[in-house]
Formats: sequence, structure tokens, C-alpha cells
Amino acid sequence: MRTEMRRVGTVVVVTLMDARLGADSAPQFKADVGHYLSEGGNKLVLDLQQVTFVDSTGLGALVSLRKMAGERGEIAVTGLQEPVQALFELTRLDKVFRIYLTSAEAIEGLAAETARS
Amino acid sequence: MNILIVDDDEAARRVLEAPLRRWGHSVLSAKDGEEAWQTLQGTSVDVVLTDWMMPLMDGLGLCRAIRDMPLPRYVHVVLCTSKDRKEDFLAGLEAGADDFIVKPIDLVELRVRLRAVERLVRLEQDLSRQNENLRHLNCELANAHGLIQRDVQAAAAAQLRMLPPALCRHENVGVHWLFLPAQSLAGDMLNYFFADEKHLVFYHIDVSGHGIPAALLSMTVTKMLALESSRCTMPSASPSEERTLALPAEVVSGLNREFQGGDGRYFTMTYGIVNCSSGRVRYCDAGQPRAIHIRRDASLRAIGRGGFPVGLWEPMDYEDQNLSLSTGDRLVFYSDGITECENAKGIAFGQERWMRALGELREAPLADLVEGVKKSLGEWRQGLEFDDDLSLLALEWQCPDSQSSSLAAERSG
Repeated sequence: MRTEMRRVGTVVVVTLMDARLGADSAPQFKADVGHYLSEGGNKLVLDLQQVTFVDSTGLGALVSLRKMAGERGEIAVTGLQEPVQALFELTRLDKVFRIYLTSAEAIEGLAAETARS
Repeated sequence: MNILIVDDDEAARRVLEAPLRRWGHSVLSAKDGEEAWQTLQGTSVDVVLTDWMMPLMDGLGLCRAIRDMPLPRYVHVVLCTSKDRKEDFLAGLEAGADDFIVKPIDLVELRVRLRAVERLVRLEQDLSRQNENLRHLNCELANAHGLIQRDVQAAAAAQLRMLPPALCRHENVGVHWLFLPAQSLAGDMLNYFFADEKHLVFYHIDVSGHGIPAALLSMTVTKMLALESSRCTMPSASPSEERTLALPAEVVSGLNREFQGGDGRYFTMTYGIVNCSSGRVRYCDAGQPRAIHIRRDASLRAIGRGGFPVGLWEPMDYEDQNLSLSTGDRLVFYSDGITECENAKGIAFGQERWMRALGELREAPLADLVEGVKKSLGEWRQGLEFDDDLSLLALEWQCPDSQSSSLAAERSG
């Protein structure tokens, strides 16, 4: 999975550039983003606008990252396409991640969280 | 190196023997090609230093004989010659000579040429040793692979034996299933059992990933659920003791607590109880695709609200979903391997095609429905092996009053 990272204030936005987050691409994606989290990053927006397919390995990778962010961090997801949105609902991942329609809203949401804490 | 000097002139042989020994080589001698050829049969020789003109078999003949001989390793041939025409060199190369040295032999030149040969001989010896090691390793790998294959096949057979009877009719309930592992071992597992005269318990598991790690986790879950099954089906200590079935959400929550902190592997599952008298189904869905409810009037709909997969996150609340079946209704629980099954062009079978396939089979007897699904998926996959485990569990309920007539209708149909 190719990713692009950009920083907006205290928040880092990771845009997933490929259509499939599956067994072949999820481990590398998890390692890349996990590396950022291990270096102290804790406000992350995952932009899934380009992703149309997530399989069980991809789902596991997303939740692992959420666990790595732990108590001190927040991960928001945005740009969920219809099949991915359906998977998030089916597996109740919507209870684990903050979900926003656009990355701008996600950045604002996480930044506001930082301001409150 | 082991060097064989071939020359019909004994004095010429002696002139070479002394310096070659001084340079650290082992030296053998032959008076013509034929004697050299005999020597090569039983001795390990690295270099043949041969005269060109000899009786019986000359230098060119010896070259050809050496190249035709199935020797265990390469023998370098240096032709000693007073010939210096281009045609002669070409004839020597054609016969299989590696190098030439002009007579009378200059010892300094000979030493330098032999050093070059020695580098090649060492390289060959290294390669030959490495090849031998590789052959040895390859043999070990083939043995280990064979052992693993046999173990996996035995495990796959054991896994198949864990599956319940394929088609079962009991009281008012019919059950059937489909189980197609991607590799010989599956991460999917399903089962059903009658907890008592009135209740059928069923479950369907899909471990993330597939192959051996997924199968091991799937078997571990199955074993834990077997404890629940034996608790349900064990005779009561006393007739007055009332056994209660654990509610599906309790079972799933228990597994979720149990399977936290693994290697990131998790599973989705459905666990449910059918009341065989009333047709009421109570089930807990933990991330499996929404079950398909096929009604007697032939309408199909995906039911349920989904749920969180097991082993990913704790604490997580699970809830039961309730459903009342009407007579002739069917429920199909399935793994995402079915809708995600891709054809040769990489197109997924997909939800729409899946619903259409079930729609076409909605009135077929349960066994034919399952066979029909298998056939559709096989055709979609165009004979390729499945790249994910595929499984489904289908239930059918007949109201006790209408059971005899509708089952008779099915049989005649």
C-alpha cells in the first residue's frame, strides 16, 4: 500500500493511495504507519478515499494501529467508500474509530480534541 | 594440483616433473594418449599437460577422449606444441584443449599458466562443494516438505472429521453445510448439535487469514465451543436439575475475553440457538456477513446488524438478535470467502451475484441448494483453486403441523 503523509498542525494525515487494503498490502501499511506511531505521533487521520476493498487482514491492520495509538492517541478515518463503510458498520469498527466525512472535518475534530485535553 | 604429463619422450617428461613437484604439484606420467587415457580412468587429475605428436593416440585424440569421458569433474588440458599456425590452434580448441604452450617449454611461462589454471580449479572445487551442499540441503528440504505435507494432510483429514453430518433432518429442522478450504487446512469451521430435544445450537467461524495458523486458531475455538456443547448435552446429575443454555452473546463475549492479546489474528463468527418447536432463532453475529433469510414466499433479505469480530478489541458488548422463522423459511450463514471469491479476471463474485444465485436456488431442496452454490462458485472460479476458505451453514424450519405435508412435497419435487 502506497501512502502519503502530510502534517497539519498537530495532526498527521495519511492518505492510502491504492484501492485494496488486503493480505498483500496491509502488513507494509501497518509497519509504515506503526513506525510513525512508535515515534510518538498520536493524532492520525487515515484518508481511505481511494480504498474500495478491505479484507480481514486489512481490518486487522487498522485495529492494530488503533491499539498502538492507545489511550494517549486518536485515530480518525475519513473518505469511506460504500463497500468499506458497509464493512465498518458490519464489524462495528465505527465504535472504535472516529469517522468523518472529509479529512478537513477529521483534522478539525482531532485538533479540537487536543485543545480540550 | 594433480598434473598428468603425457609425452613419448621420457627426457622431456623428466624435465617437467622436477619443477612441477617443486611448485607443490603431484605429478603422474604417461608415454602416450592411450596410457594417459587409462590413467585418467582411475585417478583424479586436475590438469593434463600433453604433447601433440605421439604414437597410438596423439594429443588431439586424447583431448577428444577426455571430453567424451564422463568424468566426475572438469579436466584442464594444456597442449604443448611446436605448431604455431592458426589452423592448428583452432583444431586444438575444437578437440577440447583449454590452453597451449609452445615448445621448447619456458618454465616461467608454464608456471604462470598453471597458476591461472589453479585459480579455475579452485573455483570449480568451491562450486562443486557448494553444489554438493545444495544437493544435500535440497534433499533435506524435500524430506521436510514431504513430512509437512503429510502432517498437513493428516490435519486436514482430522479437520474434516470435526465437521458435523452433512445433511441432517431432526424434528422440524433441516441443516446442511458447504466447506471448501483454500489450502488443505481451513480457517473456517462450522458445527451444530442438539443441546436437548428442543434446541439446536450452531456456530460458524472464519479466522482472518488462512492456512495452518488460521486452522490452528479455528481448532482452538472449536475445542472451547465443544466444552459448551458437552456441558449442554451431558445428562443432568438429577432429573430435577434444570440445565440452561448459555446465551449466544455470552458465549461470544467469553471467547472475546479469552482471545485477546494474540498475534493480531482474530475471527468473525455467528453463534445461535434454534428453538425447534417454535422456529425462533436467537443468534449473536460477530462480524460475519449478514445472514440471508429466504422466506417461504421466496423473498430474500440480508438480516442482522453485524457485530464486532472476536479477539480484536476488549471490552466489547455483544448482543443477541432474534428472529422468528415461518414454516419453510431458510437461513443461510456464510463466510466472506463466498462474496469475495474472484474469477480469473479478478472480479469478485459479489453480493448481487450471490443473492441472485441463492434466489435461483430458493425453492430447491436444501441439499440441492448447497450443491447449486458450490457449482456456481466453481464455475465463477473457472476451475482455479479457491484463494480463501469458503463455507456456509444453511438451516430450514418446518412448522410441526405443516411438516409432514411440506417434507412430502419436497421429496416428490
